[in-house]
Amino acid sequence: MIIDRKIIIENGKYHCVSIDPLFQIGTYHTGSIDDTLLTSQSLALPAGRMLGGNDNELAWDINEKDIFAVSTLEHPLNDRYEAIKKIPLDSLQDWGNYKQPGDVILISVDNYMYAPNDPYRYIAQRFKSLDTYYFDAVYFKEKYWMVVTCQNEWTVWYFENYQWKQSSVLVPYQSCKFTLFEKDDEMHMVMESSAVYKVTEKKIEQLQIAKPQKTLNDGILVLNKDVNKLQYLDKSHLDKEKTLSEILSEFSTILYE
Amino acid sequence: MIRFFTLTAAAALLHTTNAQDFTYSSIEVETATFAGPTLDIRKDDGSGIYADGIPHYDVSETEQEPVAYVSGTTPEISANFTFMCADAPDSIWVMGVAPDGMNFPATKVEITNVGAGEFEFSYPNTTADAGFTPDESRYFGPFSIGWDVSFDDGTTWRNADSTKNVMYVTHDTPMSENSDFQHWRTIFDISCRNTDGESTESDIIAGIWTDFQDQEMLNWQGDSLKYYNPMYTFNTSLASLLMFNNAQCYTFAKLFLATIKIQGIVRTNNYVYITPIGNTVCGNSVNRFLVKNWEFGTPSASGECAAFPYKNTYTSLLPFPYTAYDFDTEDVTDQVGIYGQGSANPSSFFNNHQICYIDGVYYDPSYGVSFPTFDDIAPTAFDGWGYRYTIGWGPGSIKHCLFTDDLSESSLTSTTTTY
Repeated sequence: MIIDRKIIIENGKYHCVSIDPLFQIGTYHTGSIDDTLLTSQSLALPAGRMLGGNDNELAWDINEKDIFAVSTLEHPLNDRYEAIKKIPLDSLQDWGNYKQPGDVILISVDNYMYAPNDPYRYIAQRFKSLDTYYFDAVYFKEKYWMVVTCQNEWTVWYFENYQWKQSSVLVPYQSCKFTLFEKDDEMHMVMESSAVYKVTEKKIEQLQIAKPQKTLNDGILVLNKDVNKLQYLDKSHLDKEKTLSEILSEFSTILYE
Repeated sequence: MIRFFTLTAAAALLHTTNAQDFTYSSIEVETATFAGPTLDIRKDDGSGIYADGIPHYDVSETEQEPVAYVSGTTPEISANFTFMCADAPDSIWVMGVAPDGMNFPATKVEITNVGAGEFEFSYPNTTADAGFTPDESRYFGPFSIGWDVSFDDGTTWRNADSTKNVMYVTHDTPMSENSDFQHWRTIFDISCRNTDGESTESDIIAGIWTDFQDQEMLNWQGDSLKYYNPMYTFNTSLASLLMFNNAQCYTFAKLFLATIKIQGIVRTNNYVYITPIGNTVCGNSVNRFLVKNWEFGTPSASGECAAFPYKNTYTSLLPFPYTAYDFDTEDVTDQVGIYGQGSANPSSFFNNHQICYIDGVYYDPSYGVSFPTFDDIAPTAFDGWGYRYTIGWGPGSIKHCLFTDDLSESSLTSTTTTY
């Protein structure tokens, strides 16, 4: 079980997504931060992501009613152009309601797209090799935002009124894994180096340099909205015996506040 | 394998230092452990690494552990022996005779009495007197070592026992593992079994590809690795193919590339994702294709889309027992077509497909065929294009698919990554 990319904490509840290491399909987990991680509610998520390659973790976000995910799982019926899904939270079901992971995968590939994956189409048309293609997406201020990078070019996209709007090509930083997050009503981005940037529809601007000796490759981000901080946990600290709040108080480091 | 022999007193008396009147009923190798620059080999079922804390050879086991090296290196081995007799000398000479003129040199070792008439001795970890030929991929099925002993300081040698282990020797150091490429046994096996004696990268790639061309890939145990047989498979990771022996195109593309990577052969931009270009037809993006063979019947949807007049609908595409598509209505019918790995009629209704690109050639490992150019793929392998839209939400939604058999209506595009 791989917890992918981030844990969101809000109003004393955590939300996270794990990816099945064999079938690539997701499971949505939620519960109190005073529970042990992954032992509360776990629901089949009809979205997933490819494993291997550049290992871009699932780009997912959540609002009150829906979970958003860019479903890139490798399946011959999964259309990358239709990969952006908006899935009502109340439609998610327990894994016990399905015979096999494949049943959820088939639902996933035929589910409506929320928006055409124009950012991917743009990248695929612009670059033949996607070895350095990374992306993340969040739902922020009633818009769906996506940042994509490949071969050191970055573009910021947002989907509004059924249309995508795209920034000019930004070339400030080497392509790498990154995660978008909201803080203080602004959209930010943390790179795998731990450097933090502010993102707008027009530019990407550095706010905090990378912390020495810190990379985010082996850990999980914690977007803790209850304390208004971006925290970080090493995956080795995701102890099943301890509550998430205990884990956070013992092991988390603050990446940005 | 245990070989019994009797060492007569006369023969034993040749050993001047320890001349005794004794008879050995047997000398048996109990265990043998390869050492030196061995490579870890992972078990296909994900349960760990071979010979992890245990010997490669154990006489009490029916299956022996495989071993792997990189060409140009030199193997090492240690072994433990036992035998029974009434009386025994203090020491004995031991040597191992391996394939290709490779020997584990003679060494004098002490004999220990471990019980009434029970003795043992150990051949210490020893480097072979020759290494594997540089750059040459080898497959030894098995690498058999004849263990000889001498009681007369090496004047007379007798075969005591032998050890046999499957051995893989790779062309170069395997590429590093990641989440979807690990050094599984079947990867070593396919790669080395098909390239025994090959030294150049091109010959090794060609040798591996030969195995894919007969559409019958076998794992190290001789079990068939199948492409959509049965059709209902959601295995897309190489690990899942090796675990369940049935998977999708992604895994066969990875299988081919993994067998090249395990040889330490580096090729970038080798993993090719192909999909329709997504041109718009009747307000929809073309996002499906049909791999041969499909029979086009009477079109029922000319009024909906003249260019894509054939229509199939489904709610559940592959219900139990997962052996055939289950369309609610169908103008286009799946037929037996292009043979896939271990499968006479694999799935053939796709949005995308995964192939490989190496040194100017497009390889499709799922079907064991190659294409000289990208533009050859669609006309050679496809029967039609399609698009699909969904009405409703969730499992009960109805999927509408419209098709054309006019291959000029769309074309393929591709992106590459490095596997």
